[in-house]
Amino acid sequence: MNRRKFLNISLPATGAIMMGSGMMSLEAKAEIYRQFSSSSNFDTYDLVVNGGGLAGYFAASYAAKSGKKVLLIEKRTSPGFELFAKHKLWMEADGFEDFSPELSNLFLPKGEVAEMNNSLGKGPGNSKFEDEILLFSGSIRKGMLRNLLVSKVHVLLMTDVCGIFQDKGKVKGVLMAGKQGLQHVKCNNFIDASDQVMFSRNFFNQAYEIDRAGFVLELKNVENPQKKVLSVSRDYKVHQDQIAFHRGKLSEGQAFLDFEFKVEEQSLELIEHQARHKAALLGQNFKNIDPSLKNAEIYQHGLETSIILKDDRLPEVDLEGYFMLNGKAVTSKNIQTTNEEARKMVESLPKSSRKAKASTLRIHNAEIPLDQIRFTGLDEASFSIPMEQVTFDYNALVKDKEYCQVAVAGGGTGGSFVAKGAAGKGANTIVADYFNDLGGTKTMGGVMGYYHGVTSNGFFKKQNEEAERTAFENNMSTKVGRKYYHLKEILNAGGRFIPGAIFCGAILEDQKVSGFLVCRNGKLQTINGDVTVDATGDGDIASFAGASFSQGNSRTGETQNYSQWDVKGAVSISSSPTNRDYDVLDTTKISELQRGLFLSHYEAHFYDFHPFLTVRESRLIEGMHVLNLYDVAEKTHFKDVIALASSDFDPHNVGSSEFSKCGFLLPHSNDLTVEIPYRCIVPKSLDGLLIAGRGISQTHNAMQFTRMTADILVLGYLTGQIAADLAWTNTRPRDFDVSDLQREWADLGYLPKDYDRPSNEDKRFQEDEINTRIAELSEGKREFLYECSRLPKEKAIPVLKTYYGKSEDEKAKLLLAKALAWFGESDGNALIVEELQEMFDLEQKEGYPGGYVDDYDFIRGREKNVLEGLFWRINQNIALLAMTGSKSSIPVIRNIIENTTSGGGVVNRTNDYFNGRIDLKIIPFYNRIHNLCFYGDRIPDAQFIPGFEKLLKDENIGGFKTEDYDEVRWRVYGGLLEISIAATLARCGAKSGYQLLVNYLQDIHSNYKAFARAELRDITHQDFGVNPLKWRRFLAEKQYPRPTRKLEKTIEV
Amino acid sequence: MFCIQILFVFLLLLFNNNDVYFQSEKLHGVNWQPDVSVYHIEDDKGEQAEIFAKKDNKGFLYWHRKLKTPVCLIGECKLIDIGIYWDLAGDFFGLEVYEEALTKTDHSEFTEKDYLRLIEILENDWSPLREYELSDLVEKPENGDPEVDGTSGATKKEIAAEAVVDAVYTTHTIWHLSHVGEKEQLVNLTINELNKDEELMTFLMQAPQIEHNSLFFLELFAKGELGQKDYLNSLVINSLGRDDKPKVKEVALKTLSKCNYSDNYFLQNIIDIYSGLPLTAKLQVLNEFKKVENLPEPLFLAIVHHLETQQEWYIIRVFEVMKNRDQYKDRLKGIASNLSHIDNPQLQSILSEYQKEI
Repeated sequence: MNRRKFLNISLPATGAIMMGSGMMSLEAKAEIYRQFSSSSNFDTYDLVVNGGGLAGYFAASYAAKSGKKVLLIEKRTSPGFELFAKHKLWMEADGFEDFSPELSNLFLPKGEVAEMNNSLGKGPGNSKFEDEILLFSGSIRKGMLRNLLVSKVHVLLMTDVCGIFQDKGKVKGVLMAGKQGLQHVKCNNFIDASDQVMFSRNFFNQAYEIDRAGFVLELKNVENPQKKVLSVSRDYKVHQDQIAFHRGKLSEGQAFLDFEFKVEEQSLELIEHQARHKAALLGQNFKNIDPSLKNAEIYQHGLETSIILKDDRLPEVDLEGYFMLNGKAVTSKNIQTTNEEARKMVESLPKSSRKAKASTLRIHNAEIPLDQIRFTGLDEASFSIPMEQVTFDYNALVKDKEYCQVAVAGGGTGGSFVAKGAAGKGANTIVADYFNDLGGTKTMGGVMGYYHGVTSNGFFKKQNEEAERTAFENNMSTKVGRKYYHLKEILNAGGRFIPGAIFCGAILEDQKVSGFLVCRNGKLQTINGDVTVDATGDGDIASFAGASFSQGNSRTGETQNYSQWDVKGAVSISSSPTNRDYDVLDTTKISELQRGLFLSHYEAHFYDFHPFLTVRESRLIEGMHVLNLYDVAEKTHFKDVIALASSDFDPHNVGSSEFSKCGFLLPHSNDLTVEIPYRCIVPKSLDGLLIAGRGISQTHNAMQFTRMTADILVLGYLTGQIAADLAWTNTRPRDFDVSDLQREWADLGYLPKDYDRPSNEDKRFQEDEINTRIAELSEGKREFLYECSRLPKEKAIPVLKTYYGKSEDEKAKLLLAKALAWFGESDGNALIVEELQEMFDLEQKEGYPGGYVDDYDFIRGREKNVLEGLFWRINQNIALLAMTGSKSSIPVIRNIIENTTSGGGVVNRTNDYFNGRIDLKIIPFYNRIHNLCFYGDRIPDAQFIPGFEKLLKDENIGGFKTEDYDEVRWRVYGGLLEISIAATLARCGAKSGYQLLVNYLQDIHSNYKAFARAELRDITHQDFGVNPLKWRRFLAEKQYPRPTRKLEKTIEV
Repeated sequence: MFCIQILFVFLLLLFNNNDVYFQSEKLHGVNWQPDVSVYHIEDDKGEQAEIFAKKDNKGFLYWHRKLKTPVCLIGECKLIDIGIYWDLAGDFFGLEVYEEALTKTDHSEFTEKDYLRLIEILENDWSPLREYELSDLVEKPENGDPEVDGTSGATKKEIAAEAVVDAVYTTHTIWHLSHVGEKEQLVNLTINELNKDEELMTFLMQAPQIEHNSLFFLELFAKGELGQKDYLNSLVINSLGRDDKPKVKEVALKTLSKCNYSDNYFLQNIIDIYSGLPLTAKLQVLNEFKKVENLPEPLFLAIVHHLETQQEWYIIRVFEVMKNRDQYKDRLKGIASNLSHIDNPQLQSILSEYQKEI
């Protein structure tokens, strides 16, 4: 089955649109991008629905179908919380036959049959097992989201309602919390359809008592189960000493255990922990519970518990336009009832087209006048949801507070170990996370493997052994075992884990961060710490506090692509492996995060997909030292080294910097071990804050070597220990001396024994070193070209010129000429041009050279990183000539441009995994053309215009429209090529270049919009934002070709 | 899965030295006691596999598995006949090759250097080999089947670098047999042995403690896996004195909640040690004291000594440790009343709750 066919069946057909295969892409595009294709043309929603469970889903759908402007806000990463988040993937069959075809198709889409491997089912969708209809988590989430989008409901996932804007007793809007902070949307009506309408209970201060909680375990390797209810010993303390048993349709060995338990405390945090302790206890004793569980393993469990209240009466509402819709236990009959109640409520909503105007904001336990709130516009081009950014004095106005010594934001790979490290040093520690389980990318994203990293580190080995043992002892998969391991370790060390927290602000006083703002179950709360650690991975807290940062490629802004992995099912689909990459996103933007989540839902498998959208690259916070390529390649030893990292250079494309374009730093360079100095975790402009995880202070190039999970977790642990010491000694991070801890870690095997050897930070500046490298190069040793490229320019040039003048060896002289070219000197250009011409002639004669970037094994592990292959050596000469800025090479480059083509369509790989990687969906001459642009940007000339315009006419290069669903998903790098040619053409003065850049202002990718705008601004010295009409009007008045405009750019290290 | 039967056989009858083609260095000169117990663990396929419990002539416990297993992918397979040894902590200890030499892709025999490299790899309990299934090691060529142990072409170079040259699959197979899933099961077998064999336990506790074993025992005690607590107090006291062994000291701290506090000698030692600890170490210890059900009065007094002069977060932790300990409530109330001047919202909240409770 090819990928496109799989995608056709991976979209549940909706009742609204039954699509033929040819229609799929167009429809998907229309559905997903409706929210991201234009700015809003209204400012007040008719209805905002809080909660994307079944009740909220029905209400939002009815309201939108009746013509209302509707926004649905869901705090989880998918709609359908009663089913997917609680993992209750079954319902009583009685009544299912009465479902409408649309409703039936929502729960049992046809496409899921291909993933079912339990043939015992009968009835609708072969999903009836005795008296139950069995469901797939992925199907529900995919179907509900798609139906909402088809119904033109605006949807915000990973967003929670945390306040109501009001005026004279009427609802005027809502305050929302999301990864990008607090936002305000206006509305005239609000329906709270949150789980147990908990938002309303808190908002109206209704006293309630939680009686019991329920939790679901998904098992595999269950053998021939005979019972529907398992009676268990009282020791397990489960409700009525019974566990309900449900079959699974994934395979015959799949089953669900559903149990309830009396809550020990009313805190939702502790209830979630209690459920997991209970799961572990049951897992340990599977053999004793039932023979069918003899070899069973907990494969997954619910993302959250189900809460059973002692009294579920609804609270008194004192606001006009405020409604509540409480969901019911999921049975076929209840679904029909909920559907009907939602319809009636929507029909009864008062009609109003007034623009809402609020006077106060009401949050839990506080009412805030609008004059104490700052409203600012959002930097979100073409985003259809009308919203404003909101900030206020959180510390003064938010009454719910927690205090600790070390406050850790983010409990992922790094943050979990920060908390363990800090608590282990005795500090009163709180770690908060968005999910109810710890482990982030590994556990919630499913990226469990270790790739590269310093796996010989003593701490790394220890934690892995402990985590695996936890899994083994509790009959858990390694993923579930790791989640539980993190929880146990933090609690045992005296720390605290606060789950379900959306980070939405920083507590800042005089440039000192003293904690962060979270939204938990609709309530804002501050977590105040003497020391705060930003372990969000995206630098969210530092960014809220105003830290400076870099992100992605310094010119085009693109980051590595994101993933949202499927959970491995029973049937593998060869064209669609579970570990797919999707698109390039800027997750600092609300619209981009939502777009990423929507794409994943459309393409995910039906059985299940992980809740976590995993991001490889985001903000890199500027610290007291910025780790860069020089530090990496020179193996710099820092006096304040705190951890090591190891990887090859793997930016998931060819690499954007001058070092890559000139062939020194190509993907899959040899592995390097890098030292990370303490100064990289200390933000330059803020106090009270440390950075953990991949967002530490480093360049885009350096990050490729430091982002491996084995290293992130060790760095996290050590960062936690530093944070504890800072708290105990009341020291500012920038004043801290790390030497005592270094000694301690070296003794424990967490740092090399010789950590205190003299620093070599200035090695490449030393005269001897400069002379040695250039002398070696002058001996004709090619590997020293890269070594010389890292020398300081001012010191290297005179020495290179001396050797160049003296050299009589042809090969050596050419190498010296190349080194000079790298530093912008054109002394040897004639030699480089001559070699280039020869190589290009050879390539023209022999045909396509092979060995281009997607041939990973070809360029992997090159000895001493020496550039091999005609294709790459031609590229290198082109780029080096560009670095000189000398026009003498224009004729040869023009000839190459005019004789270059795409080389054919996107290269097909023989391997499904590589075929599924969007960064490898490139044409053969992709990197050649990029290097020609590299030249044209730096030495622009109108002579190049015909050649580049001819390339754009190549059917495999031009005409790329990234708003097309297929193209966005699969040819994002094709878009990068086209926009790069557009920028070069504009710099050469061509009208076509300007026009294409303006077209890209409307591209779906945030970074392409930003790149196109930045190029237009730089070339014209004008700025009309991302408004294409204004740009077109401005450009229409100009004469073409326009004067050339050279790219001025420093070398990216 | 574990102990099903115990048999006694004579090692020498089973393994005549003439049958051993290769033996790794650590096994040289080990004299095994003749008694061998037979247990079972699950192999990678979920099948029961025999494991022999063996002791050297000093009395240390080891685990030994003897197996014949094919090394193959698609097409050609070759049987290897080997014995793997683990120490009592389930860590790889040694390898024996029986009958004939291990061979490589080109059918040549392993050289001495290859065996040394193999043992070096097997002694690394974390290898990139862990992350890959056998089938991941090769991408099927467009024409024909991949060859057994072929490292050329598509076999990932970084994996090849972690294996004996031209013997990737052999290396991968033996490494996985030694490291993936075995350790956890062998540790459980050791726990069973220690809990039922008083003589073995006594011997091991009285033997000079090498760091590896100390850590292993302390971790088992910390998890509550070992029943004979009599040994724990002295092991902990000795370990806490090992400034030269920070790992041992660290784990010893974590076992404090499992110790016997009715032992006066131990109690006095702990009070002395606690009083001399730096603040952060005290906090770690307090965290363990929190789990001790009956905290003896002398220890209570040591903890609250001059409490009002201590760092505020230390005071918070002390009150958390003392929560619900009714026997000290009056004295704690007195202490709490002297702390109202400290401007820490968390402390004030705890004190207020605390005073309500008591």
